[in-house]
Amino acid sequence: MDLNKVGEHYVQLMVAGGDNKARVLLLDKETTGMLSLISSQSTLLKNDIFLVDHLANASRQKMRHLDCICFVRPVSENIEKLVEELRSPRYSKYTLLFSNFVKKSHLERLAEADDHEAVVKVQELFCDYYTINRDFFSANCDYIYGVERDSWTPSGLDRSVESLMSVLLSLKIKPLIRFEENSAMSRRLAAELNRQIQQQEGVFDFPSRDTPPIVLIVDRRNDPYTPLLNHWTYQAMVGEIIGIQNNRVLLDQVPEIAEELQEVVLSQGQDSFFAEAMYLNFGDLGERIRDYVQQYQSKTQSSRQIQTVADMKRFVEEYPEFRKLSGNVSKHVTLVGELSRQVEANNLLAVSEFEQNLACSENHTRDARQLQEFVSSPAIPVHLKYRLLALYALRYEQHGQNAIHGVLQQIQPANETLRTGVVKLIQQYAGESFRGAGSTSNGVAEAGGSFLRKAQAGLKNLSLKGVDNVFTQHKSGLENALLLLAKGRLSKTRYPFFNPGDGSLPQWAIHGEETEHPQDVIVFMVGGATYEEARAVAEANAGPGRMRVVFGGTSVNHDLLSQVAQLTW
Amino acid sequence: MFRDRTNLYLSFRQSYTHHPYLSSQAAPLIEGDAIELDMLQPGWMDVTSQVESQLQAITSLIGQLAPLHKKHALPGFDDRSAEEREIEQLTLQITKGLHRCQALVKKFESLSRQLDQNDQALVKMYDNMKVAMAAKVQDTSSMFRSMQSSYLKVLRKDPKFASTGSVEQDVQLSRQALEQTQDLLQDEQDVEIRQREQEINKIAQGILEVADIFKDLQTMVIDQGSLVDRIDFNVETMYQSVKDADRELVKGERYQKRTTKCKIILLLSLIIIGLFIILIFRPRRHSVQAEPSQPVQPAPAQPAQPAQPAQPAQPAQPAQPAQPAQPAQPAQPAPAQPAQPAQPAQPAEP
Repeated sequence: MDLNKVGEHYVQLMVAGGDNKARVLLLDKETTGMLSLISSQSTLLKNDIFLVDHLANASRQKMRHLDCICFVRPVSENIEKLVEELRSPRYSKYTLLFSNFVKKSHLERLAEADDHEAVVKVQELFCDYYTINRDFFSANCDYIYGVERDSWTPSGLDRSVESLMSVLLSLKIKPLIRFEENSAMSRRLAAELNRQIQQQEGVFDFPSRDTPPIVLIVDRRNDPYTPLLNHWTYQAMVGEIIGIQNNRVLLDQVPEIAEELQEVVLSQGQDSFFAEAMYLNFGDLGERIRDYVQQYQSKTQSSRQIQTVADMKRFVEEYPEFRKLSGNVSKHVTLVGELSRQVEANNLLAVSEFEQNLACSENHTRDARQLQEFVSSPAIPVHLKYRLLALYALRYEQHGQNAIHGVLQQIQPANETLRTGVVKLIQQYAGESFRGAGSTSNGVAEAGGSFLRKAQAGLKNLSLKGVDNVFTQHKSGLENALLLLAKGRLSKTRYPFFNPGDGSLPQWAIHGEETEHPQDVIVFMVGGATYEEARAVAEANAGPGRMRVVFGGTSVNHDLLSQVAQLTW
Repeated sequence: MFRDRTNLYLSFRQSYTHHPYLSSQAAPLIEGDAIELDMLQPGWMDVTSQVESQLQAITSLIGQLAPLHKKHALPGFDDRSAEEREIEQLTLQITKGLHRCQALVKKFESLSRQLDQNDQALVKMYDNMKVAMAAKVQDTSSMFRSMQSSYLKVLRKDPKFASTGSVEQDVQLSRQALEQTQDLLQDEQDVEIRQREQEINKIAQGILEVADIFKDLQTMVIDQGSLVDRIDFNVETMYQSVKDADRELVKGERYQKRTTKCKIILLLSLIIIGLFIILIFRPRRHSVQAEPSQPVQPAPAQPAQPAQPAQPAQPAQPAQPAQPAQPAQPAQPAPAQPAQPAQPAQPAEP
């Protein structure tokens, strides 16, 4: 259940059989992204792949002394491009690799065009998803909501099913499917997934396991709180505050940034410091990075006295490690520096405390007053004001005296997209009418009389410590669902099993209160996953339970309000 | 898991009757004006295969050296000069080989300088090869270096040198010992020490030498986990430079087009202005001047009218016939003439 390892395996298959011959690798836009997350340029070079290009690039030169590996998604557009390519081959031999099931009709088209008999191998490598962490993937669909209420765009549904199918095949899982009962979209996805699995019966012929693996399809709309809150762990913060695209972080907006740090990579698989620190909260992260710098310092100091040959030898001996370390140190120091700059500049600690109050407890007079304060404060950036209002609106939608519309007019400077986002969030997306009355966010972990005091303390020594569990009171819906699922107590009325109707669903899945304790679980979030949830999943995986979870979503959610603003329901 | 579709594909391919293109048409082509150029192996192929074979040779030498190191590290009383000479020989060969590899990798730079710099893909490919070769040499050289230094450590464990902490000290010590023992060669013990010191000295120097190569190549090798190690970044940057070049080209073209356009516009507007001037000044002079020139004067006005914008043309027309109409009746056909060309010219203007 480690997607990074699976990815490595696929890359091995991809580059296999080269015989030391120089090769070119052709990709499409999407496979470029997918492959970048599981492999690296140096791996390709090591395997004699000296040129990587897009299949769609029509100006590629003829290089008949090269062999070609072509790894693309099996969509018609790519097949047409391949047909053209095979009609007048630019390279000597072709290995065709598809990231998912390729249609027989497409294969026939290719075979027909292959006059030169250039193709030597055709394989389907099922890795049609973006591997973000070892237990976190994304389908990277930007927009999935169809025209009608509670419906998919056709491409969104297809893409989700395709990525789920390939995740299942990567992990060799034939699952039982559970979905969220109140969401027509998750039911639709469950049905479609089930249909396609049955269509590919022969492929899903894995040895049966003691406890059947589960695919749990959940809907973002049942937990709109999580993407609206500020979170305080490393990866989540970078994603939230700076922004992560396919594990790349653009830092060019950071003041006085060095040129080589304008864009950096945060990858669990390739950066051991990041792998260690990605789920640490901001306070612990500060300490860890200090240690890291000290470690670096002690090394640089020793390398400064480089008069002696012994030092030189040691220096050179450690040189690759050392260089890597220094690059990595400056990367993480820059990132953490930028995070704390923004935390301070945007008053994120105060904002986050209020957010947590809104998400976890109910006190309208207090919250309305505080909301007023934040909204009228010039120090708070506009998008945070809208997010606070959205949280307030989610909480007090049904409250008789709520001030939603008043505040909505009040936010200056007004941002039309975010404004629509807030309105649609309540009216169409995730109002109580959808989530069900009284379903406040969820279990409040621990909040006592002492939390205000803690928060004050936190505000005072803003340094790097001071992020306390005041800021992490809110537990995402997913976290709670996973806890219940591990105990076999996840409600069957709320999360029913999809019944294919052919008697393959075991009795315990239909009757009775409890289910078996599942071992392998794949959770898929319709409407976008968050890094915070990915953290919860990683924590569950690291815990003592025997349940192993892989988490994914239609996308990684950066800005819920702008997305909701596009809704056409 | 994955699924192999090769057989299915091949059966599809067999079921199609393919054009007899390969067998009949291609053959005379090859016989005729001969080999397709792009089938030829370009220059880098030589270089890469040379590096590969060098590295293979080095690896096998290292394979020979390892057991000798082990054997030599064991204490013994036999005469070992032959063994030592062999070790020395092997070490020398390996170091030489690494030097040659280094030179070959450098050769890529000069090769890629000869390339057409507009051919981004090719330049990129040369660059990639250089990096790949450097990384391969790097692997081998660091393997050799770590072997050497561990051998050195084994030698250092010799009780006489147990106190010394580093290679540098070893080297220095052995040098000192060399100087000191030059006169005292009689003592057998000393000879042995000297030999060992010499050996250590050589190894230490070898390590330094290899370390130099390593450092030199290190600048070419990609750091793991960095942006340049991202596949998408590499594709993007290649595209970026291609795109940039493209954009420059388009821009240049546009500029060129624009200048010709500008020239035409300038020329036309100059003509218009010139005609305007003629139009404005001439008629006044006619009205003052004598009549005989009249039949001549409307003639230059004729081309002026179509070029003129509609507005000044209209007042000009009634003005002309109005003035000459009274004094010169025979001139009537003349003002009628300008009216006629003016009409077809007007629709032509827009």
